Amino acid sequence: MEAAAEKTAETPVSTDSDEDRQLVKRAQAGYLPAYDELVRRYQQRIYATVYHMTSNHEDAADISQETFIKAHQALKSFKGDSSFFTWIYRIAVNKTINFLKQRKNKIHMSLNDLDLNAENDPDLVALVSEKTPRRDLNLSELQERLNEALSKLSEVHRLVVTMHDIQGLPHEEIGKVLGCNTGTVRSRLFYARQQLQAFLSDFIQ
Amino acid sequence: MEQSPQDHDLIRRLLAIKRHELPPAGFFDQFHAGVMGRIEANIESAELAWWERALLWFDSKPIMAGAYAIAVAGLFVCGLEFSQMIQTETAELTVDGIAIGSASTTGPASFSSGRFESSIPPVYAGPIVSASADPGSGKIIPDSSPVGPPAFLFSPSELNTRTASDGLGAR
Repeated sequence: MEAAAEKTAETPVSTDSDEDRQLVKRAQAGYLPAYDELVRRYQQRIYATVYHMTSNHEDAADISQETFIKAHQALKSFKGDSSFFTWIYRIAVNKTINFLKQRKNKIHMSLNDLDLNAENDPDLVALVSEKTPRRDLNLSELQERLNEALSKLSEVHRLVVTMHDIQGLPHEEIGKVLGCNTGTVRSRLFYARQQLQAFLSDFIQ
Repeated sequence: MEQSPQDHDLIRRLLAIKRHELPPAGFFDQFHAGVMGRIEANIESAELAWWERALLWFDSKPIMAGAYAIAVAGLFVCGLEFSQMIQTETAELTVDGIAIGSASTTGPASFSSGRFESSIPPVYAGPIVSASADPGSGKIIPDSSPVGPPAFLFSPSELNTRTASDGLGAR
């Protein structure tokens, strides 16, 4: 069952394509609309990763913007050894980790941005009402607890959980971004889930 | 604590809730425009001359601009005061090693203590006389004959003035 679940989580993400390479080449030559297209392609994924790491909309927006600006400045040095997606993801992750180190002990939980559609999601409603011992727990409270639990994880473990369980990146891609092998990614993921399970034990049977 | 696959599955499903956390509507429409705007601004500023970049920097940091302005004004005032001090000191004039007085050379005139004071030495209004040193005593003996312009210069009646038409009547 877990294998099946793993499979669904690893939603294929098109991270590299000839079109990307062409856009990168044109952007390297100084053609700004090409870089604009690259920003449009990856802004949501970069933003989402940073957001789930920082749990703050403003911080996520600032870091994401800095990431794309930094990437443009360093674009000449991009040799194409990895995909543009992996490369820019690495910049975003490094920036986020540096930011979190500076921000220690200052955590903002932003739950107001929760998409209203989430409350109408039947799977989520069922999950909250059936799988949690506290039937009176609403979605926002559960989410708050979840964010609290996530914030207790170390940065690398939170990153792995964010990239895999929230964003659906495959282990291999996460390994490339973090510069480690797939086995390390898997063990970190397992440990992070165990930690989350312990933090949320009073909510989950 | 023994972990079952079901537990992890539940955690995974809970984490999936976070996929619904989205930024405000229209955020991504403006995001890429903001990024490109900053990149274009960086490129433009890189092409500017150094003084244009400095002006832009001051524009973006008005407090720093004010601080620099105060510092420059302070340096200017200090420099002015210092130059006045030096001029006053060098105004101690000496002739043959004997100090004969001091004179302010800060300018032709100054206004201090509510009085207008001129630093230009007063003009001697008496007759101009010549003097010669007595080789025996070393004293300066003024000549008895006044020295100055010829007297006829100041006597219009003695001036040989001729107009341009004077010579015309003789023809």
